[in-house]
Amino acid sequence: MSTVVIKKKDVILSIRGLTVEFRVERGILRAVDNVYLDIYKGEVLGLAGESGCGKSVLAHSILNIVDPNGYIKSGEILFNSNGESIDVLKLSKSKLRKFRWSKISIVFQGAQNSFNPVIKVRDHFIDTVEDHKGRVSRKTIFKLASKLMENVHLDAKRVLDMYPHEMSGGMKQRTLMSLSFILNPEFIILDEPTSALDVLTQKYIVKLLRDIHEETGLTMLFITHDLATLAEIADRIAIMYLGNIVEVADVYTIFYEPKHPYTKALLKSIPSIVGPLEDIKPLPGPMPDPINPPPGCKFHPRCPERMEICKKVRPKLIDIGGGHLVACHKYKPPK
Amino acid sequence: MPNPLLKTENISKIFEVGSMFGAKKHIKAVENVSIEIGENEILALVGESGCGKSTLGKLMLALLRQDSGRILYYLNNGYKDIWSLKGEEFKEYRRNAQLIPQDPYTTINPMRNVLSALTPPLLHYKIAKNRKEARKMAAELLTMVGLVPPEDFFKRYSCRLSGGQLQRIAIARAISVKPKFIVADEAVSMLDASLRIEILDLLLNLKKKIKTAYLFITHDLAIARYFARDQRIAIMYLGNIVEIGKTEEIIQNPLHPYTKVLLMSVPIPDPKIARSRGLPKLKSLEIPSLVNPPPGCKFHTRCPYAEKICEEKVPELREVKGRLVACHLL
Amino acid sequence: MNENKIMRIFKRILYDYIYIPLKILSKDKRALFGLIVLIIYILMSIIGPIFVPLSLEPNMEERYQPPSWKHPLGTDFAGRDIFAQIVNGGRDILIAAFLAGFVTIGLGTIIGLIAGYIGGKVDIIVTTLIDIFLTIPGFPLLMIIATWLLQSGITVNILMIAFLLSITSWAGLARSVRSQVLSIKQEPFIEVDKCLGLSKFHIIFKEILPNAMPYIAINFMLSSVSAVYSYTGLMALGLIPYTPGNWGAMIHMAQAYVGTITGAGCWYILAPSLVIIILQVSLVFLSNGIDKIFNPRLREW
Repeated sequence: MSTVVIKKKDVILSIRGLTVEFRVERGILRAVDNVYLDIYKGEVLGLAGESGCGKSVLAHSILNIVDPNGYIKSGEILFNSNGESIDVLKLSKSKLRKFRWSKISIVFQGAQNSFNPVIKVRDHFIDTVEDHKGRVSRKTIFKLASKLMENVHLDAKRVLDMYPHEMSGGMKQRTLMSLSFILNPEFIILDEPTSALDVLTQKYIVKLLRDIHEETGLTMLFITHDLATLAEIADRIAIMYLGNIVEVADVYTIFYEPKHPYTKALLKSIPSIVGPLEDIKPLPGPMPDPINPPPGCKFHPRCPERMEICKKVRPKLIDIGGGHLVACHKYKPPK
Repeated sequence: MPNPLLKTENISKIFEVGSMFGAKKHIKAVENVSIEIGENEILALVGESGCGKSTLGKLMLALLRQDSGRILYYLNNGYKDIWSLKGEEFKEYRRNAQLIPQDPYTTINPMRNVLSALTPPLLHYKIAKNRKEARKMAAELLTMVGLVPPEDFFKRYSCRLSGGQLQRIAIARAISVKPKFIVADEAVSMLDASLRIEILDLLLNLKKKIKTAYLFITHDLAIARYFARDQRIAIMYLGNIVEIGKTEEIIQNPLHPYTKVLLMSVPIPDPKIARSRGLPKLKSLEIPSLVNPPPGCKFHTRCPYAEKICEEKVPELREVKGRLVACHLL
Repeated sequence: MNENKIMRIFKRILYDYIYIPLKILSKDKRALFGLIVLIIYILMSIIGPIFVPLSLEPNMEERYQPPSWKHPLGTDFAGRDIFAQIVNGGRDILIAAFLAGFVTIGLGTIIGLIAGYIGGKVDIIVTTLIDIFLTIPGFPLLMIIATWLLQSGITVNILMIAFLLSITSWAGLARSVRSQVLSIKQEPFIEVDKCLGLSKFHIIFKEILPNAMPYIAINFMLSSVSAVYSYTGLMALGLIPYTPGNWGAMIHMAQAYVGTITGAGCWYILAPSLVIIILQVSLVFLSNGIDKIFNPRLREW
């Protein structure tokens, strides 16, 4: 289970052996299956996969937020900051609250539900800051908020006095982003931040995030089912399938030289406005039942390159050179 | 085009919103739209949410009535206004205009099983003579859309089926009466990205067997390009058609500023291209309200090339370089 | 129709309407309990009187006897067997209750469907009517009508009583059916049905109605419960002429002649009260299970 040997100070978040399960009607659903993932300081890591692959659950687990009927079965999540290493999963409730939003913040999917409908935007900012930093002068808060909102092309004077329902979807999403940056977190998780937006706004938000990242060196975990968006913003991409990470590589390698058969098939199934249409092929076969995944490699029933061993033994995520991780029996680590 | 199957002439649709006691607001969902759909052809209708494309689809299916203009259907060597059709002629039109809706989970009645979703139209149009034959035909339809063995699905309800399966059933329903025209309203938007191509391929294959014309409504240009390859695309903005022509021509060489901006914003799964593209120079990110649309060309508030005439006069669809574009600057 | 076809239809009815509902109910213990108790009551009402005939001969030596082998529930103020009265009294109550239930759901459903689907002016008229009926206090109205009927000397039969009992209860169901219709009218599958050329009749009765069935079925149970209370209540107050052995009448008599819950006369007031309460509880339990029968989404498989 070795990942690239890297000095602890370069890794800002290390997920080790994380398994998250849910109790459902028909049995136990293992949404995240023994995942090991390192996120480096200052990078934008894209986490991609189809719906139901566990990427959202993984993201929420980082902040120890799991649905009521789910539980973290095992694993640790080590956050390295200021030379020390904290296991997020072992934090007490009060420490966790302080931790959330000030060290790591998250922009949820569907911003509409993240706001309190009965208080104005300005109060959202005040509440968030005071919750973490105690009493701070309103002037300071609004100055900070205005600057952040300017960055996302929002008219602070107008928006601060609005109620959430008065804003359009795009405005809400951008306001939520400003809110997530107000405490200057070191690490931000974005869960499908652009999926509910129209194409033009999406493009702007992605460019914006790129700019913010270049300016501040903020570490980002960008979760989406839309690989095409990651082409523009991600430094590295991790591909998830049915709870497992199957491939991790830098963005160019993933798009131009993918190794895992699932990654290859996924890339081929994305229609695009450039490129020949004949190359586009649907993913083979139906998605297996997540409660009873196939034995061995979970992708083997749909894999055009499967071998005998794939049916019996689950492949480990190994480094095949240069930080390119693949979980497939076809690839061996370099000697 | 010679004898298109269905054409609209300057149709508009206005929705009234507002409480009983307050001032009523008017939303012009569709304004002055004239399009044609030929037999067995695909017209992709592309636009962002709120641009009126769903409304246009429903108008063409007579599910909504337009407030002005006519919708004409080619029947018995002549065109007839669909709202003037009666009796057998109306039945003929009705049978030939079907819908595949967006949300797979509300495409069949959640309280009735799959079989009872498929058999009524077969019996109504006497395509099947009795229940037994209808059942057999339902099995054939399910097989055609890839749900095998069909008997497994007869007694199931929508809550026990996946999005992909439900959308296939929606397709089976639409083609069960062998229609000449189908409106697919964001038919794959609520499906997983990996399923979309499969469903689109299914529709294309079925189209080879049953010659059907499609109005394919979507907000996704890449999907539109895939489905409407070698066919036509229409771009819609705030109730108006701004550009309409051959798919590949428009994608490679967009003429209308809105189309250009759209094409610059669609994510491309290629890092080198994606990272070198610039940002479209929009004047504003805010979509104008439909209640108070901007005067003149509706896009002028955001258009990077807007000039004075754009604020004053509404541009008409004119022929430019072999396609129709509504822009003063061409 | 030949033999085979009749057999097949019979089998289908048996399967769809008896086997499946039973299977669903059997998974819910309370609903099953409710069903069993209800069946016991029905059997008791139908065949009970054959085995336990009612004798209304006063027998003054045996007044207020506590339960014994001869009189399982004791005797009343006139020495008559309480058990026999209970067994015989069930028939009228159950008939009135279920009849009232049917009338309520019949009226409520039709009115709700029409108002919801047609809309416009018809809808406005109907909603106003519904609102009026909802604000009228049910039981007091019944009391007034019952007293008037009593005084006017019109003979009251069971059908009339059933209609009476459903005078105000239809409004609640009509309103909830109407709102179901309104919300379903917009759904995509209705639009597809229209495109597929299905008739208005089909859409209202085969597509929209099944969505309202859970409400209707539960409302049937609850209307019956309410009818039982109204019926026995009116009787207990002496406002409608009673039939012998009727539980409401028994309560009325018990109040008039006994007055206390303790002592020898307690069985006379306890027996009908308990019997009514158990019936109501079982109907309510049953209504929980009914929801699962009519709403396939709630089923476990």
